[in-house]
Amino acid sequence: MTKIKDNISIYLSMLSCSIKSMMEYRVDFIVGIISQLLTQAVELIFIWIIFQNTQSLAGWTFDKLLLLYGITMLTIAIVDFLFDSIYDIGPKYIKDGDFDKLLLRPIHPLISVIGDTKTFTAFGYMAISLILIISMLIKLQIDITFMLVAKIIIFAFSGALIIGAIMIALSVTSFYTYKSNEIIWSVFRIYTFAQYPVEIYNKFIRILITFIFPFVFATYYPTLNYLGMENGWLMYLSPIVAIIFLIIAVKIWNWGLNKYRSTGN
Amino acid sequence: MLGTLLKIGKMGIKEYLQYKSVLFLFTLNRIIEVVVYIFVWYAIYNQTGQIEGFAINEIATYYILVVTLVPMSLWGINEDIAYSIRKGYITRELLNPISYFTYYFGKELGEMGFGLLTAICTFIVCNIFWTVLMPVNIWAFIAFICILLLNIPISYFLQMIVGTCGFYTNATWGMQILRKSIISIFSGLIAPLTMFPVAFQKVANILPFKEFFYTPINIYLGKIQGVEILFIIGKQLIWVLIMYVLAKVFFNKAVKKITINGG
Amino acid sequence: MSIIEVKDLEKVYKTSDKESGIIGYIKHLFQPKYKEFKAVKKVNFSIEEGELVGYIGENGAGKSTTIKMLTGLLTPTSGKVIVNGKVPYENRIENNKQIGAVFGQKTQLWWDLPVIESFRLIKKMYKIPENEYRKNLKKFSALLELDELLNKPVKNLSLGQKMRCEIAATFLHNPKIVYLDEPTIGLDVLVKERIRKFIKDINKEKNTTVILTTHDLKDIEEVCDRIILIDKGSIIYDGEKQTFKDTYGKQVLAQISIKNKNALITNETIEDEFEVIEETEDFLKIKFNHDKTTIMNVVNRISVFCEIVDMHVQEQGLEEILKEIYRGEVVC
Repeated sequence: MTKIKDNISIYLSMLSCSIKSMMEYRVDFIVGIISQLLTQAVELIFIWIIFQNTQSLAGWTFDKLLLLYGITMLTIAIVDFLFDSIYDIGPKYIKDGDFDKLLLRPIHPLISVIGDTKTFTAFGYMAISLILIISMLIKLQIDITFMLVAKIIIFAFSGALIIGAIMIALSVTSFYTYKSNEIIWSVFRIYTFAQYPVEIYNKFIRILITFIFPFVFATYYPTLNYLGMENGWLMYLSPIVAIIFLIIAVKIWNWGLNKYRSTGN
Repeated sequence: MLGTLLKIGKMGIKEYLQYKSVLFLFTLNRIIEVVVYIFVWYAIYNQTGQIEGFAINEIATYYILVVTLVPMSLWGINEDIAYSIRKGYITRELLNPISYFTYYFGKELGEMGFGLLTAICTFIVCNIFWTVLMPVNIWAFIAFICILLLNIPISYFLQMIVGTCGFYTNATWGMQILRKSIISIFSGLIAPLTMFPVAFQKVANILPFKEFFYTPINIYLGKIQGVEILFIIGKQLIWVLIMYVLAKVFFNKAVKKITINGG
Repeated sequence: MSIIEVKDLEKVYKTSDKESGIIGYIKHLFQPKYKEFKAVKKVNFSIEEGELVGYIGENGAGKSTTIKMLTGLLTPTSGKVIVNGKVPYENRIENNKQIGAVFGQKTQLWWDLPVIESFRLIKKMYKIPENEYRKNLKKFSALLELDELLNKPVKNLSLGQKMRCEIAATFLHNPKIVYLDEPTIGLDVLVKERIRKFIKDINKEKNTTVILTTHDLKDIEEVCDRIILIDKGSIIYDGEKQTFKDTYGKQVLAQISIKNKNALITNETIEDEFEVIEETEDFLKIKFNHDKTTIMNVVNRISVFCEIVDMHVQEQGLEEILKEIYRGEVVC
């Protein structure tokens, strides 16, 4: 247990260093926000076009769908901020041979990787999600209480941990191929499924995003809860899912690391 | 010259195929991208029974062709140019016996070649999951290919313009996203352009990006026919010229920066 | 006519002189101020076909600026460069066809592909005739021991292996002139030796003109016949390597084994003729200047104090001479 505590405290101090060094890149920072706003605009135009053709999508109105979209973006912003460096394990750390240096440190190498984060897109996701969430809550006449804000923040983090755990588990492929980032990206992209109500999908995809890659706990169920819709209680399973997935992910990762260590590369 | 270009292109494809898993993963990514779109449209169709001017299998085919064409319309070498500038490889490449402009066109052909491979794989795999319509007739298919071929220089010159921004800023990845977003919005990648407001369509009609997705797919589906296709090809030729001149101006200015200030 | 002709070559860099802060930035936008920096000043030299020239100088002396102007990567502020009858910065592509260049670690090889693929591309780009390509490839493979490397992807090669391939790639199209900028940086002694020998062999056989800039003066010592020394943008020496050493390398170091020493040999007792660096019961290390004394003189002096068993005399190397020039102890 103390080992975990140590790792977490080291992680937090690494994170604060990372944030400070990110501040040095002002141009990238601004470009990051603008480019994400543009990317999201593309997606939002699609949603807008859909609602030119219909009043509701599987019972969801335009406003509600935008709220779901905003909640998804908030979770993704946190994932992007905390776990972006997972992509670097294969193409950067292992390919350039820097990974062996991490193994010499007195902390878990995974902490070294995620502590050294540098992402400029996260702030773009964050900006768009806040705009969408706040304006849609007002439009849908949902009272913005302290309780609601706390819920949104807590469950966004819990959702981010689920997605982060999946990324960590998949990053075990880094020990076998430099192109592991493409594998992680393929699965990460599934979050776009969770931007829309699960009712529109067939059984296969529903099972995929509920049980195998449970993105629905990260975004869909919380939104149901905030909207006071049926099945909203499922949101409370999210932290449990997060913890289970994190434990499994780290176990898988350690197994991969041990194999890597014993065979070299 | 052509031999050299093709050799560079072939090397580009080989470079990709060094990583055996890449083709599979890129194809998978294409399919993940299309799934959402198709399910959303199916849901709307089931609810309302119609979609503006498109039958349900036409709209599915539309989106499958969109993801099929993405590797050829959005991918390319511009991150390579920015990389070559940032890392200083450009000084070495300027000493090649063929111009930097030609050299990178070869590389672009390599990207397109690999893009084509991915496109074919995507199209075949999509056929397993959905019923994809075939081109209305052989002439439509030939016209479809012609339009796509003319996109290659347009896309390349645009990337040259974006890539040379690497001389002025390190944040070229942002420029990339900007390029992709603008193309996405004005090309019909998001949705058929006829679903957009009229004013917007007017702008899209002038820009060359419509020919990246909307036009070829509609030719494929038989919704654009006859003389109109000739006009479109004319428009593309004009854009090839405009983009060529712009790219040359940008590039020459950037190279001056190297030859006067030493990079 | 010389193969490279450089006349009154000058390069002035303009660097923007920005004040700090946003206000300074905006001011600069409307009223740009520039600082001028003369990197190369009135440089003149000419190089004959087949010469092996070492172009040396400290960091920032103007070496790479000159090389960039010779290759056409940089346009001179004034003056003229003519390489084999062509002006490189006006006609870069034409000039490129007759030259080869190695720029430190900036490889022209394709990272993910086997080396041979890059070679084949070079063959296509420079339009090397098939038999010429085969002949060169065979010869270079033997000289640089490339046989086992050619089918390996570049990314899997060690630094030394990569550089051997790079050098081969540079000479593949029989360039008339080759510019080598730090070709041996970071390599081990054996690879360095092999590369030096390769350059000399090719020069002898094909009469290739080679211009070499490096910080490893052993490269110059072993490869070049002529050196051009540049300092603060001006050429301070241009001529034969041996003449350079004879003219400026006047210090001689002698290590002498002795026995039966009868007195302490101090700087006083020898009246400034030489300098004692180290002294023990049976060993003596001294330094003296050719201008002031001769070896015979020194030997005579020392024999007064002891018996000489053995003596090892060492002339000053290029490196030591240059160190003294850079420090200002010797003036060219």
